[in-house]
Amino acid sequence: MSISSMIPRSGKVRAGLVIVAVFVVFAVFGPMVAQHDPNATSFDMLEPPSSDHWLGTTQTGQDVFAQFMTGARTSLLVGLLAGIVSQVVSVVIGLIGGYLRGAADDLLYILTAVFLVIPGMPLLIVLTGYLPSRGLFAIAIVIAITSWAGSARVIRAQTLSLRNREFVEAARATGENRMRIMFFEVLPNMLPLVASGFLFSVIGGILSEAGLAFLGLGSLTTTSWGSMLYFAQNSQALLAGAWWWYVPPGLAIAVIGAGLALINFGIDEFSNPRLRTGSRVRRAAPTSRAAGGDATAASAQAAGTRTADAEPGGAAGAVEPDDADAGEETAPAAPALRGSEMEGSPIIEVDGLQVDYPTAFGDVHAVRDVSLTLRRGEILGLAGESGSGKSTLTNAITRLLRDPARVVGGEITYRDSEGRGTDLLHLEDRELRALRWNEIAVVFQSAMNALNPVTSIHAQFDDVIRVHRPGLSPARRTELATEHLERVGIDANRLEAFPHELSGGMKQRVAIAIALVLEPDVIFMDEPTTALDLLVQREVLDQIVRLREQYGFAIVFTTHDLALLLEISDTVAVMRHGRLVEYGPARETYVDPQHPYTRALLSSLADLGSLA
Amino acid sequence: MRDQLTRRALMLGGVGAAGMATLAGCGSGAESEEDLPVRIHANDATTFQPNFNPYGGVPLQGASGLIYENLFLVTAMQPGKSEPWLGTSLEWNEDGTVVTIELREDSRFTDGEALDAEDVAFTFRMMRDFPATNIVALDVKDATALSTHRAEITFGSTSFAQEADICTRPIVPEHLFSAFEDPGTEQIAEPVGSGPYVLERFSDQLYTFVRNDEHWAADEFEPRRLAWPSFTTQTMNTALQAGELDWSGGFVANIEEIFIRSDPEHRGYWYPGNGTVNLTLNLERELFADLELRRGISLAVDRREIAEIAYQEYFGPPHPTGLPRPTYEEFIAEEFRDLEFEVDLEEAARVLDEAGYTLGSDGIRVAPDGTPLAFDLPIPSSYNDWVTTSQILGSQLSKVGISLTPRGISFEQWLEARDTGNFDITISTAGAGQNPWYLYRSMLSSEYRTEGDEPVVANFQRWYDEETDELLAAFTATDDEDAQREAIEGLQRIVVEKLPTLPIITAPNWFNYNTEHWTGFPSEEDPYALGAPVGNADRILVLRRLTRTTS
Amino acid sequence: MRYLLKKLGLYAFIAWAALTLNFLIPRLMPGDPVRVLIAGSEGQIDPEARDAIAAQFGLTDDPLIVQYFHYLADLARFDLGVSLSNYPVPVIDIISGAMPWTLVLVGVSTVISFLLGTGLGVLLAWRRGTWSDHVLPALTFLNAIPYFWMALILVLVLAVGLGWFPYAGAYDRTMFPELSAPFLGSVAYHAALPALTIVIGSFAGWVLQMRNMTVTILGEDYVSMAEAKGLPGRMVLFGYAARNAILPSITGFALALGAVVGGSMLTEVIFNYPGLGYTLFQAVSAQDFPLMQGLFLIISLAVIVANLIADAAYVFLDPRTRQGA
Repeated sequence: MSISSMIPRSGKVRAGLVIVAVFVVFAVFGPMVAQHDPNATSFDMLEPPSSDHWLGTTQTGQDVFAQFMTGARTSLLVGLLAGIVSQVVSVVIGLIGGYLRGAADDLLYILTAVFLVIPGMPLLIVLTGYLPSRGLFAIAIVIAITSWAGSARVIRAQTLSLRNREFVEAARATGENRMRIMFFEVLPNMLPLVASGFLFSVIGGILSEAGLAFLGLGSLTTTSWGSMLYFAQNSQALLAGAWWWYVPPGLAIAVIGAGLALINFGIDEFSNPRLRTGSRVRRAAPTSRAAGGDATAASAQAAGTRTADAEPGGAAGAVEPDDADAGEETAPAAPALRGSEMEGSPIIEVDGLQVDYPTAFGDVHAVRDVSLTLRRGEILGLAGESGSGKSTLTNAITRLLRDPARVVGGEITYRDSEGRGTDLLHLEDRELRALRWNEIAVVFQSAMNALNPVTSIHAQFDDVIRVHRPGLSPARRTELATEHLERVGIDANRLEAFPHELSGGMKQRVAIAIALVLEPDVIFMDEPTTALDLLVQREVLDQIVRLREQYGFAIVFTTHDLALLLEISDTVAVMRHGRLVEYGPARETYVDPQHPYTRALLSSLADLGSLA
Repeated sequence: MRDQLTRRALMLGGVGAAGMATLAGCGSGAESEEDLPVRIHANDATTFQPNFNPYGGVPLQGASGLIYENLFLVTAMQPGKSEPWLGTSLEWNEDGTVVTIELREDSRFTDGEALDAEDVAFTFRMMRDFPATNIVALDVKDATALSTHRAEITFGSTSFAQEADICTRPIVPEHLFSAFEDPGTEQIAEPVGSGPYVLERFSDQLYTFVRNDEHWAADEFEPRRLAWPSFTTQTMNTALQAGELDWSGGFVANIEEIFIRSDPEHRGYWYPGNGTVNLTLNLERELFADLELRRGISLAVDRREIAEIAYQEYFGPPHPTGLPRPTYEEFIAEEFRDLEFEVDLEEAARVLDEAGYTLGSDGIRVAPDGTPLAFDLPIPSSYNDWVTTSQILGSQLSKVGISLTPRGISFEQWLEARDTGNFDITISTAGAGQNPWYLYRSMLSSEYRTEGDEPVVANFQRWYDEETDELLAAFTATDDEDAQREAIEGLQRIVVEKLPTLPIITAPNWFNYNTEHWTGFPSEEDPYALGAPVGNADRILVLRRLTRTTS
Repeated sequence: MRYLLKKLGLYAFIAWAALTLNFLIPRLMPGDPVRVLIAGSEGQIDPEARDAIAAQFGLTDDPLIVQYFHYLADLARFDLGVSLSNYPVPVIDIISGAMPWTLVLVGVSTVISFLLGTGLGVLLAWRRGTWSDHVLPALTFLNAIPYFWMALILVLVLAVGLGWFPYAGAYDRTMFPELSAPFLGSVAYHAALPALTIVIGSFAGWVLQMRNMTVTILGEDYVSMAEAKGLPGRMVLFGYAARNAILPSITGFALALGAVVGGSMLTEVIFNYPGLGYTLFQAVSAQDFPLMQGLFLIISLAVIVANLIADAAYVFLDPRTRQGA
């Protein structure tokens, strides 16, 4: 990593770093630059800023500028000290509890809970009230005591999730002792979290010290921003209009607090790229209103909620820009496009579609000049390895592309039963929504995540029916829902269940049932069976095929299971590096694959004995 | 600042007086057209708790004196004089151990019962039996009612000096208080007193008194209602600025800007001295036993600077005798009348040099025995005026080679240090009391001496001197005014010449007023009483003089 | 249900811990509270009087464990001791006088702040990539402003300067409390500025948290599915995204309550609002240990109860907690 890549790009983080740097400079050099001793009283009482006193004077003739700079030192020191102590305690407790589990964890968890629930400021005030001496160090320790618990809780949660990762297992297997594992394996992976927690603690420390001093509970013989405000308040500086005395300290606290928080933002965004804002994100055209994820780095989430994703390596894997087409073949073979043999009228026509992902390293062409035609009632199987662009293609067609992906060329047309064409790419919101689910439905890759975890199955049927069939009565809607549930082989009494109460297979079937409820003309299925075990896979597939026969809808499904594809598809399309390399009737493709890549795929399958 | 008011309030409220006071004529103005209350800020609290028991804990202001009355009225502004109130005459026996008091015959409690000698005797017996109620430490042996309106109190020791204390003990109804298991812990929300005012209404932010028209002195008080809203030092300032108070105590920073400026015709303040704040050197430390060192330090302190910067010149520097001005001005001995503290750095340096405190190379003097003159100055960090003062002191003393480092500690800890003698130098206050004897006693008397590490409760500098004690005893052994004056002058000489403690600030009686609605407050021109609304006798004197302002 | 019972057990334990902590702190710290009380009389107290006062406050020399049981027994009778600075008023009286004010002020402001904050957060997440991103630094700044400084400025500008609001107190100082329209109006008027301070000081935190959570959730599959279902934007945002995004905020709400209590304490001090926070501050300044202890206990218990309520709400909102683990 070069130095320039370490300088954060985000404007917010840069601003934060600048702010903090400025204050550090104040703290270190400020008191040296000041013209007066901050404690020296004089007869120039309560004077506004002048050349002699850059920020005016206090009630007792002391130089506000000198006090401000000295105060910076005190406040930052206390904040820093409190932050360090607090974070160290948090890390130790969180780490030990999360890693060791068992009795130690229970004990520490309770300890954390006690300190978490007991309100910090009152405890702080009470402890300070009893303190024999109110020196900086004592105050910092007391602040740390009242603020470590929040971070500890978070760190514990993170440790819990990390300890089951493979690298930790590996370390255990090689006999590393627990301390080493905790502090040298697990901890380094939590650095963003720890750093973020540290910054929060520092902000909290500065604010707490200011609050205490303001209440007169700190050490009033040490100048800090809080004590400046205390004296200002006591001398009725506000009523006397001495803004130069009470504005700078308060403002300073706010600004440095904001600065630290901005840096925290950066850390947050670094570990969770979905949160990024700024130029990179803005360049993507708002193809999707609910712009949220960033598919390029979905896997980089520190929380690790998504471990498997269709395209993690997707765009990142195909990082090589345009020119290098992977060094496997010196000259790419020409695609073998034979087109579909089906007789139904066309329902979706894709013509020369190009989809790009702009990244920091250049544009990634996820879909390059793809053209195909889906006919009514046809089952089109889209195959390809991870990163070939198949999900991007289907997302483009269903208009579910996520920022920063955008369509840069080509057309997608939807033809209704009378053959009228609608330009899907430029469809207006309202019309698009009308089309959705009614005509085009989607079954997501893993229904694990595709069902709303907090509402019942019934509700998830109900809302879509209500939106698209407003005339139906609630009873009728429930009837529809039950009907379709049964059709996918799920008992009607599970209607009120919540997603987490169902098994993986059942969830997938529910998703299919919901997809069917409005009797759409096309259903897109993204890896419909990947997450299921073998027997369930079979069942689900059989059901899909049966339903297709019953209803006559077209299916587009993507998979990297070529065997499956060949078994049930009418037409097969193979993608590689964003291009269609083979497109034709299933049987023919199986019997006589044209493209070397297809041939390679089929032969490897044959070797494995996967082909029936 | 809050602490200041509480300190002073407690100090003023709890200390008795000796002597009698002659009062200026009272005004009895025409009846007021509107029922406007006098708005008084005397309690430093945001919410009030309903307790009007003058002997139980921290009662609300107004209970003592206005509801439960004094025997006689005294004020520090006229030491030695008293005005009859419940009592009509007071007589001592030869050796000051028995006092006989005649009572007026028309006092009644608001529940109809008459106030007579039984109540007086009960009140003093209560102080004997429940020490917690005897905060003025009267040495009561017994108290009896000789007849319906004549009471006799017997003391265990000569008590001439504490006559003022006796005069200002609020008299409580025997028929009610005798039912209390411990009057010192009884919370009284509905007081039954004999005074010119009664509690009208109470809420946690305001309580009001209304005049008791059955009272024998009712027509001497023009204000019919008194309002006591709750303010703390913070909100008091804004209230003063907005003109929401007629009568208040408390320190106001920038009083000209914040208070006076909006209405200079009606708004004013008067801060007569009511005690002295001393730079307290621990005389049990060998080093400070050296008078020359003390002299040198005193010469280096610029009291004027402290008064100007820390106290915005609200009052002048203290008098070298420690007697607060103008309150005890008349007691200042002839020879000291024109004496003032003078800063003289050269003289200070010379004194210290001659005494053998050589200036080291680092600018700090070293004592003949090798100890460097570098001291910590522990002060409660909540007293921010002392914080400022100590900063000023530090820079002043550094000019003569003495290093004084202020150390802000918790109030608790400071008390501990001060009381157990665990300090070199600190700052402490001595209240004026009702006559100079009180002041000097609390500063200099050996009766406060304790064994070992036992904490002391006064005389924090630990000055134990035979001559001083003789003078104090001489005062209390007689009620002959001349003999008393001689004793006081002797004590003054000791303070000036022997420097047992170094007065640095005049402790003032904080008093702010607004005559927009009510006139008659005491002032520099008419100092008939102390103005702070927390003295139970002074309060009556002031209220009697208030009339509606006719514009 | 089990989840809730487990939480109940935990909180009961935490309450006990708070009780015990409350008991231990003053006894472990150095100092002599009686000395403080008599210090005010500046040297005029009799040594006997001093001992009598000490006895009154229950400051005995019994062994710690005996004192602890006395303490627990007293608590069971709601006897929190007698206040030093308001002697002889019992602590429980002072607390019950102050409690309603805090409940009203802090309770209402916190709820408003939470609703406003999470609502705005959802909006900002929805409108991401547009103007809303520029609001973030401003919100961060707002979040970092010290409560009390903001209160000071607000008082100065709105109360003292413009005179739009009263600067102190819970109701007009010339009124007595009664159930009447003018009184209630005065209460509301006096609560407005402190409430405003608390809301402004705390809502930014909610906004940022909710925004971040919603943005993360908007990338989830179920949100995509909701979109794919052709549901109107509002339905997707609220029924699918916000509904899930708010869950951590609810947990966080309970935890953040501690911070809000702290901030509102400072606000109460500045406005001299006679709530629990201000009373605690005065108790500490006056070194009134019994009152300090009583207040701290009540405040802790109140926060624990609030946590419990929040947890109950969580169970209601997140069906995944309704089964055992």
